[in-house]
Amino acid sequence: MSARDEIGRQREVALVDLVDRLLAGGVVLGGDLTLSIADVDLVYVGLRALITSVATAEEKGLAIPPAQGQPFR
Amino acid sequence: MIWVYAICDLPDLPLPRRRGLAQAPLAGIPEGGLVAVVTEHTNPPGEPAVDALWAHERVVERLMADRAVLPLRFGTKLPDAAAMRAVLQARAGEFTAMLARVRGRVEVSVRAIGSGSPNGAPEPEPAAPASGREYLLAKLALDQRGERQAAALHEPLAALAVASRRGMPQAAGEVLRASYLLERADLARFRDAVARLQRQLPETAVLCTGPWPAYSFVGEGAIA
Repeated sequence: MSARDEIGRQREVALVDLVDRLLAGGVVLGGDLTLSIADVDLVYVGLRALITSVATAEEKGLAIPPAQGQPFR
Repeated sequence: MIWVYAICDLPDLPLPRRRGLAQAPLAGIPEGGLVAVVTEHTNPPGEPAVDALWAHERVVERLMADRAVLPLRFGTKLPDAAAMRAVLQARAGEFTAMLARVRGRVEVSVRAIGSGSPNGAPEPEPAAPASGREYLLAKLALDQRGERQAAALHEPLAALAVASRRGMPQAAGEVLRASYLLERADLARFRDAVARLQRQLPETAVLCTGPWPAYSFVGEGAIA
């Protein structure tokens, strides 16, 4: 895997983690949430595909090496 | 309509010049010792487009650089500043306690994918099940192996954290999905621990991102 592919992959993983946090975490005010359950479900369908693609890369020996030093984003 | 990014302490600290969704300038709505950071919109975004998610995130991260921050769930809108002040008044005690919990701390995400055994030896391929009972037993063994892998990763990491939360795996092959609340100063030590675990579990991809605002530690029941 080239360095560029690796950075792209890391961005994908960061996006999964971002969606996970912004749509399922955080303070809820009980106000008007923009997102309907259907919207969130759609996002999660995409997420599952992304996670599976990462898992597939792993099976093919394209494991993502841990980033050195600081956590990556 | 106002879009809410975060509830912060230090209401007198000037807001960053960074812009929010649709390039709108940030505004603060102070109430007591708290301030809500918002942007005003006539037509706020209605769907979680990737650009909007990152725009929301960058505002929260910029705020986190110099104050304690409670990130709001993406999509939180209120009709006006008066409604925002009413929420800050009504939940002041809860928000102040949550700010104390996350002050100086960051969240890190760890996700583990794969099926390597803890010592790196390949697992024997299970034979086709001869009966429903055998199938269930095989599935149970697989679940237990996954849980052992998850615990082997989670327990040493949780020991370095102030708090931790495990989520349900979202996809096949995902053995661990967890968030850790860390003192900012402990980030490097945590990264080292992740790298060490990755070396011990060469067939598992250990994916670590962060530091994030403490999204997973400010929601429902986070104080309990």
